[in-house]
Amino acid sequence: MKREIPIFLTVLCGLLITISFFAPTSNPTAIPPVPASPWQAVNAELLEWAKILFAVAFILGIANLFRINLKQIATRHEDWAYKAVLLVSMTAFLVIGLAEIHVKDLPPSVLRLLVPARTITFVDGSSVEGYLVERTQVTATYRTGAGLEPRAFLLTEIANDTEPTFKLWIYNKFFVPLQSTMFSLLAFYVASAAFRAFRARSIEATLLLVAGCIVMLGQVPIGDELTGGYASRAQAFLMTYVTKAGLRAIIIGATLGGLATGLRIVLGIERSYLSE
Amino acid sequence: MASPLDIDRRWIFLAMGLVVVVMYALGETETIPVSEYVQSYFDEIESLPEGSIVMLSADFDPASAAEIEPMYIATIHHLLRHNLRVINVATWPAAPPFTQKYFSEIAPQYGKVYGVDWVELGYTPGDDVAMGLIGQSLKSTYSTDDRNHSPLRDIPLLADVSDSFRGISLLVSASAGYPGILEWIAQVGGRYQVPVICGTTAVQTTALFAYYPNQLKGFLGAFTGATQYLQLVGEATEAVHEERDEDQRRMLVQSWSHLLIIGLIAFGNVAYFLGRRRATR
Amino acid sequence: MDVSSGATWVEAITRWLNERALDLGPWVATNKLPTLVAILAFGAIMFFQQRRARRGEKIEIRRINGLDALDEAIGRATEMGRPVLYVPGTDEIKEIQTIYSMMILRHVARKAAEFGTPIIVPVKNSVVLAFAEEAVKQGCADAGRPDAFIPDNVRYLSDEQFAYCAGIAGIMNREKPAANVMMGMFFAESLILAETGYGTGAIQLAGTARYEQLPFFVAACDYTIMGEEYFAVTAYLTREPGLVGTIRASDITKVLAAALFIVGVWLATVAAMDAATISDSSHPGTAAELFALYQRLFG
Repeated sequence: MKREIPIFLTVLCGLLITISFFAPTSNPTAIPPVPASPWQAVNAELLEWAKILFAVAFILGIANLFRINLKQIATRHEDWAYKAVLLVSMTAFLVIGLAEIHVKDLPPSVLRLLVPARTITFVDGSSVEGYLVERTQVTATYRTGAGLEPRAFLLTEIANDTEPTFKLWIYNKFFVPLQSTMFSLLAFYVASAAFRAFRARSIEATLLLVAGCIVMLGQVPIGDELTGGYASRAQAFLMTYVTKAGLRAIIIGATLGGLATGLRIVLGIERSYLSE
Repeated sequence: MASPLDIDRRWIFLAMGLVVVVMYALGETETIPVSEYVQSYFDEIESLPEGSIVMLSADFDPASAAEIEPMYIATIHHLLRHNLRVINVATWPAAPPFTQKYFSEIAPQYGKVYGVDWVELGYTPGDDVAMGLIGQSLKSTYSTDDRNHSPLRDIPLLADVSDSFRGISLLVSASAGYPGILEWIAQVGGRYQVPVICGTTAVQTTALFAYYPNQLKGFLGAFTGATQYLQLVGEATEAVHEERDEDQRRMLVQSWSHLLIIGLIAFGNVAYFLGRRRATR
Repeated sequence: MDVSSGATWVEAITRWLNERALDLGPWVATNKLPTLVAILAFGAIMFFQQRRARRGEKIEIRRINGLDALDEAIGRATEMGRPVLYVPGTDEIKEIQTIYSMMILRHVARKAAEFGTPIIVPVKNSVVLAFAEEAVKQGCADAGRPDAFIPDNVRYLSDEQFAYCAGIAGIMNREKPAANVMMGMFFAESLILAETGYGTGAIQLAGTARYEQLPFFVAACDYTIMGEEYFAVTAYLTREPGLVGTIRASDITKVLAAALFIVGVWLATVAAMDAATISDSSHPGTAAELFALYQRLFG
């Protein structure tokens, strides 16, 4: 049964999604109007379930992270300090993030501890600290005062509403530079990989090398200056005809391979991804 | 004797770093010719009647912001200047802080009102599954907007949008990978026959040629595409001139870094053939 | 079908199609009918080829060097007393390439267990984590060495692309795996991983059907499994007739698709040439009509 139930679910969900892909979508403006097929509702329901499952699965990942890293911290692994930083920062961000989502319900003492308040400035010059609960086209509701009671203000009364910056500060000062650094490594790695890999060892390799250089030259203004305008024309030719044709062939091949695999899995023929 | 091919790759990294820093410091700007793909992207927006609704999807994060940011900013200017209404969504969790900042800065320049002229719905998890849901029913996918946490029924702009992407005339994706433009084409463009255009990173650009001009009406390929587009938008929008000049300066950096790579390839091949000849002797 | 009153047969077919606005109720949207027919045809070819293969008909699969090198890579890791690193890509389990990566992982884990070499599997997604644990456990069991499964070596690093990438680079530099196997869906991190692996001197095998990442793997890895080769891996490794049959089915479909393309290109060319020579614009010519019909059916 350990294999049969997952296979049954795979086949069932796969078929339902496939059927709903082909079912008509609603078109109220068509003449005559096309109503949505009931299969679209099935599709939406399954997609909703998929979203929930992905979200719940995060718990598995967090549990794994804790298990492995706590063990290494406990045994004083040589990198244990980094593991501790990882767990502390992850937990802190998780708690702060959850608190920001539940501004409406948290007790005042916990909310003040975890979430920095907004500063709401009114048109008369006065200001107050609070937490935004909801905003409509006419009013904005904040939790303000000592007991953080919800209070609605007319938008016309409010001159400015400064958002808390703690999460954004982490985002701007840590997340953005760290990510940009990793991505910019590509510039360096592309140079060293090209130096190693582009050798005119055979006719095919030479063609690749020449085409690569033409595309690189045609992509930048200096290429045309050096070649009297030929670089960008040659690059356009290569990209529009040669690359496009080759890519379409690879896409068709890979798609058919993917389709065959998908059919094998949906029909329960391919089962080796499940344990026995 | 060690072959020049065994050069420590940190020398290559150093050379690349120097080229980038020196050329950026020189800071010259240069106008570049506009490609067919960029012109098509521009024309697709220009051809929409005023008041049409466009969905702008932020499918990127800070890592790729250096490449995507200029085209994203230019697109917001273009859409708002042309009096199109914009629904802003994000399929990458780290995108909303960027997009909120841009809209907060740009929308007031055109006197746009939040909820009427543009709305920010923010990030929704689920990657291409989420895209499928957005296509099927935007109002079921999001319960509130991202900026004010207002229920969607209170947002006037969304009154003109219904299920199956009805009411939305164009989908624009600022795409840095997965999920991105290829998933939008599969989940929404193909299913609901909505025209799709995109701006993308250099790595992804090659893949897009295969989809143009049917599934994809136009695209901005990396920095070069963004610079060309900024030139087009800049003809009527002074607000993007600073961004355009900055991008034109960066093109000089890109020019010389490409030349460096070509030089390295040439050097590698010369060394390779000399080494082979020596070995044959 | 009315072929009277001077109408050509092409016109008659087109008119017949126009008159019958196919109403398939809530089941199939008319614009998706050609896709459905194509998938059903493909399914039929696949079914037929599988039956032939199961009946014992021999179907050859050409050599895939990257896969032949797998044993060599794991053997080298064993000799050096260092682990094997298996990276299953950065996508979720709903992606077909990730599912496929789990099948390959099972095979790699089996080989590693046979050689007595530890295998490290960093994952980017929690659901993939569960599948990867199962695949490694199963691979060790297949090798008759269930004790070779080390739970702490299947590690969830982060759902964030570059944090995951940095985590793997850290493993490559600290734990110095002698063989890096990268199979699945990759994005911008492909070159960072492959170049870091090159820097540590590991033998590197990569496989993906994500075409824009292929050049990076080709440039920086020792062996690359590309495009549809990737989907032939389990058939190649197991030689299971049912799976091998589906590979042939894909090939036959490709030949049919190519034949259709050639017909389309030929019709479009003749139609364009006719348009240039026929002066009477009210009558588009047979080639143009045929091309319109072709677009209607396959467009």
